[in-house]
Amino acid sequence: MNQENGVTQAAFDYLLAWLDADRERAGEKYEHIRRRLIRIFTCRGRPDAEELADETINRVTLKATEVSKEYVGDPALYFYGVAQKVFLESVRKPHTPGAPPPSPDKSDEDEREYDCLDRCMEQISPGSRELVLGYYREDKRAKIEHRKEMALKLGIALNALRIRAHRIRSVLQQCVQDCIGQAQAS
Amino acid sequence: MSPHIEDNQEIRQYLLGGLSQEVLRQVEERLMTEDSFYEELLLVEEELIDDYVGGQLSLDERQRFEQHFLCIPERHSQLRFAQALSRYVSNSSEKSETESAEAEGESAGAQPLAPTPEPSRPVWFRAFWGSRAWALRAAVALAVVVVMAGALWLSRTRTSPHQTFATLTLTASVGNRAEGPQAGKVKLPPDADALRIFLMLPEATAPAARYRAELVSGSGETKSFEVAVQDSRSVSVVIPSAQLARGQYVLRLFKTEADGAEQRVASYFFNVE
Repeated sequence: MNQENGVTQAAFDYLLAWLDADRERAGEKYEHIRRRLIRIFTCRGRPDAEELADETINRVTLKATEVSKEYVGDPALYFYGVAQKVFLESVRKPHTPGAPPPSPDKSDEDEREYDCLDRCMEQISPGSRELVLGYYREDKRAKIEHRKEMALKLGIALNALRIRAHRIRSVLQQCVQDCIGQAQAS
Repeated sequence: MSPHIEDNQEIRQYLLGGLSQEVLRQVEERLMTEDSFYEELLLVEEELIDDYVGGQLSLDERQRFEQHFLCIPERHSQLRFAQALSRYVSNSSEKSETESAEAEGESAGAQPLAPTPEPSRPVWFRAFWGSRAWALRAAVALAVVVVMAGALWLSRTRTSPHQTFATLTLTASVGNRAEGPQAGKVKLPPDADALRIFLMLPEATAPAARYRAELVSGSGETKSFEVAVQDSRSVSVVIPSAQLARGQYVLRLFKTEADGAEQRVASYFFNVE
């Protein structure tokens, strides 16, 4: 536990206990809250979203002993309230603006990404590969109709297909990132 | 409208930075407390990126996507992945279509050819060609071919559809370059045939039926380009890449009023890197 910001192990344990009496479930809730805070700061345009999320959690941890006694409701909303303050303070400080978007030309990076994707596609199951290729195939109106047909063929709801494609895509994206990381390291 | 579709649209606007403070707070509270809403955000994020890659965002959405959504480096890697995936799926579709066509061709097998009937020619045709010397017929035929080839070449050089575009969106500058918004920048990809520039019209600009754009280079050279009206807030100009060497440019936009008078609308600065 990082004691540089005043958060002790005892304070952290108290925070987890506030989130849930079961330590394992408390740990999961802690991770859920952290991920959501990071996402909110990201959506608000903050490139230092992780640092701001950690700052929020540290402040809540320091106050958990007194807050938990009187606070009624989902602790996640208390975290959110503190996050609002952290955000307002952060916009007053100067920060390095985000990098410009990538240029549309096919650079070496893009080629490496494509090659990694090609390799990652070979690593997933044929069923998953077929689903991804089918799901992202068409354009515009044809895409919607095609996905409805796919869902019908698989015997699942359209939203279930959407979630399945998203999960496979997340696996592929992680695989590609790992592949690029290995290529850069070598 | 179903709750799912309402959530989807609200999340989309949230990602594009288009919500009021009050609604933004409500959305974020739901993100903190509802797992399904948070999962929906992750899905909509991907779909928004795919729509951008596929060129399916409106002009306003595209601007907000580039200015708000993409200001985070993490999202650049998501965008690069989406571009790679789109290219991969497209290549995979082309490959499977080619293989299907080849398979169909092979399975069709040999079929007996029906005798080709003699094409019946009109009487005037037989009368004209039958009565002329061979040399004259050949000369006329050659002349027709030359004229048609010339017409085809001319139409291609004037109106050849550009296959690949780079795009740039510009906002009107006020006064000189130093006073207005920062000049736009663009790096033309090697395979881009042309640059399509979307010009945001200044607020409270009355629409016009016709516009003209003048491109002025750093060396003072001026060229006119046709302008296409996109919507009530923007117009677009297509400039061939071959006419855009590296340097600074200004696009002057003019509109023609109903009485035929031409009026300058705005100037747009940009750099080609």
